[in-house]
Amino acid sequence: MSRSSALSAALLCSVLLSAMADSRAEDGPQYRDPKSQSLGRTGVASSQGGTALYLNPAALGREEGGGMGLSMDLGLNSVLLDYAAWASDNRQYLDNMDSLLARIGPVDNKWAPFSQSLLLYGNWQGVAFSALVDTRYKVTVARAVLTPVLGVGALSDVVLTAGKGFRADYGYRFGFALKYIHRSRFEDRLIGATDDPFYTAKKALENPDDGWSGTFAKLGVAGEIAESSQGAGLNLGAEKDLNQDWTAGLSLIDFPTIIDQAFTRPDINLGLSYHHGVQWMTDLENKVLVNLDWQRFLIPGTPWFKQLKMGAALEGYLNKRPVGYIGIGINDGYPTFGLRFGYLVYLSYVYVAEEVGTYPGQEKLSFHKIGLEAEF
Amino acid sequence: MMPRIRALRPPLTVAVMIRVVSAAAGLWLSGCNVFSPLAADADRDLNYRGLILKGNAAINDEQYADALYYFTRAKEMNPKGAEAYLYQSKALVSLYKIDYNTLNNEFNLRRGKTVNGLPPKSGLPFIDSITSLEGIDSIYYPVAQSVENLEHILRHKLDTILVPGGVNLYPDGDTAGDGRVTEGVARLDLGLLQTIKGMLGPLDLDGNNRIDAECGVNLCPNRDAACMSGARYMRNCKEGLLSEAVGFERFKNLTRSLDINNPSTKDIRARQLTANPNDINEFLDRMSGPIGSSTFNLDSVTGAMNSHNEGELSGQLSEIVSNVQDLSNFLSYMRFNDNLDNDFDSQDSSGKGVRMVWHDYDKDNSIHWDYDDDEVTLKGYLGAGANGEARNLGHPLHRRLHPELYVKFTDSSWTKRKTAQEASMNARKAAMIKRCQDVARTLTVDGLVTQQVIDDVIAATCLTYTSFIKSTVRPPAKSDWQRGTAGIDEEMIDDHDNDYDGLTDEDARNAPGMDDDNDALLNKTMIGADPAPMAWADAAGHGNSCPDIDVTVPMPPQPMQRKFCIGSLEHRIYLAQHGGSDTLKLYYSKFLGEGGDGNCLEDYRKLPQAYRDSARQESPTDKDFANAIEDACRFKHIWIRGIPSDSEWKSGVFGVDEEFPDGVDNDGDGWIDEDAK
Repeated sequence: MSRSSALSAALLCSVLLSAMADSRAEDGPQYRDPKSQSLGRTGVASSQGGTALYLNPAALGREEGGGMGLSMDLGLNSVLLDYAAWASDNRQYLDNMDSLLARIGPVDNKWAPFSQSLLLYGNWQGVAFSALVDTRYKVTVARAVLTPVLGVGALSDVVLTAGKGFRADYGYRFGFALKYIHRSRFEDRLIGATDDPFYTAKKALENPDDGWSGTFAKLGVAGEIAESSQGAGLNLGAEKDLNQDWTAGLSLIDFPTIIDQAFTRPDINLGLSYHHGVQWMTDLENKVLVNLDWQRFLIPGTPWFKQLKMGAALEGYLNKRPVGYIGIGINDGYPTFGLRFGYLVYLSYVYVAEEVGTYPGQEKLSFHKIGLEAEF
Repeated sequence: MMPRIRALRPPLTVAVMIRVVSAAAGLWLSGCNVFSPLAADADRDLNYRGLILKGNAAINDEQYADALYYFTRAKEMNPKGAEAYLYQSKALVSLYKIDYNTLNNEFNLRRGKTVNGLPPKSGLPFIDSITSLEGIDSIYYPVAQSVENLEHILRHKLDTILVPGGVNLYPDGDTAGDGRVTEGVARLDLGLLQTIKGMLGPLDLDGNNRIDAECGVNLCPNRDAACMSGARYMRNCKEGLLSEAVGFERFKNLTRSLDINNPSTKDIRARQLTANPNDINEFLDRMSGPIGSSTFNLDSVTGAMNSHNEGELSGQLSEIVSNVQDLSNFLSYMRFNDNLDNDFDSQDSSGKGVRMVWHDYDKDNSIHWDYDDDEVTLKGYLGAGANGEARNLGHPLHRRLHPELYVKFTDSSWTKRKTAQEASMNARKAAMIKRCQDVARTLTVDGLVTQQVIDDVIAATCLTYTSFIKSTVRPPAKSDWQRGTAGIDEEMIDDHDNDYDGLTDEDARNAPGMDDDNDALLNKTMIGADPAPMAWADAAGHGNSCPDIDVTVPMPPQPMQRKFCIGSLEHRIYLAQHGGSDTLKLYYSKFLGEGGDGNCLEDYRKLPQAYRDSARQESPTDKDFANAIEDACRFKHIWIRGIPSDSEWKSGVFGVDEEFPDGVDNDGDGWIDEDAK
């Protein structure tokens, strides 16, 4: 790269950063595949296949053959279960302030979250595409100052992504991903008696509970009152194999991404991955994977927007195809855990906790995610 | 010699290793942030979001003082953060144990209901005779601060919020405009809390959201004499540091009898607050701002509920809304005697007409239009019961039978008033129509009063004609109306809507020659002539500022010197002790359910302790004395025996201008100087 090209790139970066430098900006799509979540949401230097589009597109340059896959997961939280039990017993009091206030204690301002994601992807010779539906809903009943109000939050992204990775000399890889985003969003907030969404949410909560489907249908009200927007964006990435066991990665996610004529919050990710083959189990090829990632949101004046993540996994392969892994991690201080088993079709479980900090009443958000995946 | 470090270390046994690993695993599995213990001073370094999260966690743990600390810090850090304002209010009201049920129950108690086995109360919510300054401050402070916070959230666009009734919320600068709390969340709680702030706010003289014994310390933080004698300080705290404390004690007396179901100026006892009309009007202005705003907010909420068919929810608010509406309407006309048309019923819109003077000769609490007309226009209509009231000015049937006397709602004399565009005016019209229809429904089918007539009055007359008399109308020869302009200060202190305009005692006015307090011994022989004012003066040796019954008897020594004064409570007690009700009824008129007997008992408690101790000695037992007081208070102060021959009362009619502007309750009616001109 010539000196003038480097200067131009630096200038472009600074212009982009200044344009995006708004701490009130929304996040872009925050999808992570189950394995990344198991390992503390790491993977900047170890992602594979179509999921690399979201972590580091440079990883696509590593792919020689092709493949396709499907990943679905459903995230539940103990608060959701508590809340569902409470709502089942107390929904009839939503019309009576006295009674509701007397019973509101167990759920007061405790948000019940629910997540669901579906990813379909394919890749061939360094080119990849994916279609993603990633949804998070939240509902709560709370006391504002004196009277009860409802809380609703929704963030649902439909993301179509295509990208390409390149190999370069000296073990370098570069990549990019372009994405189209259709977003439905209702920013997490309390709503009260002069807000129309209050009545939509109230009616949904008043519906009789008929098991899990009924509970999810209630949470779905968040989607009904969400406002939709569209956008497009770019992810950039670079990777370098330091040696046979070590890989370093750098990605610029949402750099830039614009949704509804506003820049989303870009972030820079640095990752270091140790991957080493071992023979701990007979008949299986084993690999130890250790990741260390550092993420910084590129918003000046917001020093707290940085996260350190780490994770480790033991993977098993049979005839070069994965058959399972078990992994643990720490996501900016919060624990994660996951495991997956199968052949071509997999069942997975992930426990992930994270600092969300976008709504009150909750320091961390944790999910138990049950997943079904297929890889070909 | 170097110490053998290895030897000093405990052996790293398997058990120790298991414990270390277990502890680490436990921390990891707990779901806590394992990085947190690494932070040097996490609490000090919390950002705005962190403070909100910490505060909410504290609220969920019922650690309200901690929550308040975090939210106050969050407010300071991010003045635009709406959540900080909302949750600070939540922490405050929780800390001071104020909740929706408390509020609701207090209102219900004051509406004559029994709540949780507690008997109904009069007066304003949260204020009883035993309420301490600290007690009321513990209600007012969290409420006032919360109102300030919630108003701050609603003014998120630096807009001026227009509130019907001429009360506007102006932008207060750096508003909490981050949009994290919706209008719907803030408005209902704001409306509810404003009712309390409206009622107690006038006591917060220095505007620091506290009612305490340190008035104006926010104005003069150093408490230096120069500052505290300055105009700004004196304007707010006229009675020094204790201004709010003194004001609160006075306020307790002022409002103890107020019935928010049926507010009356007599109950509010405004003139015991101060002799300065401006003080009272200023006091009322400070009440009416938050009350008007509360009405607006609660109306918005109930309107939204109704439009979404949430009748059950809006129904639960309706009583509070109704209370606030009552109070709001009440305040709009509850003004001191300022010679202005405070209740919008003056025939002269300039408010400079000649005051109406009338005497209630037939003692029906209404203004009999024309005694001669009873057998002419009204013949056949004046049946028994409620139909007989049709003879009175303003009565719905009288409006129908004498439409030529009354102003229509479409007449310019109604619509041209500058207040016609204001909500209070609309409320005034609504009150008038409601009162008219309510009265009309009491009519019974009798004589010429058919069901069709009653229906027409309700459906047509009440919606067409005001209760106001046209300015061109003059009083007939034989009428309760003596002179002056009808509608100007026509009301007496009698708890009655004398002119059927939907208001009770809105004016409580005095004028020369009036029977100001409805205690005159009028009779029909006096119709058409002003009754002579009562003339009396203290005789030598009887300087007790009240009309003695018999100057030939030496005046009793202190503290019993009022024992033989006409109308005095001390005299009624004396009669009760020595003759009982049979004797009392020979001299005084009995209460007939007007409700004043409760005031009488309060008046007794105001009598000097020395008197009460001495009077007690004239009854055999405490119980007998208590019975005597109860008996005495079953009778009004109104003397019914004519002029005693040896009394200080020389001429005139008892009750007509008997008062002197001397600051003394001369006739024992519990009112001081109602006539002071």
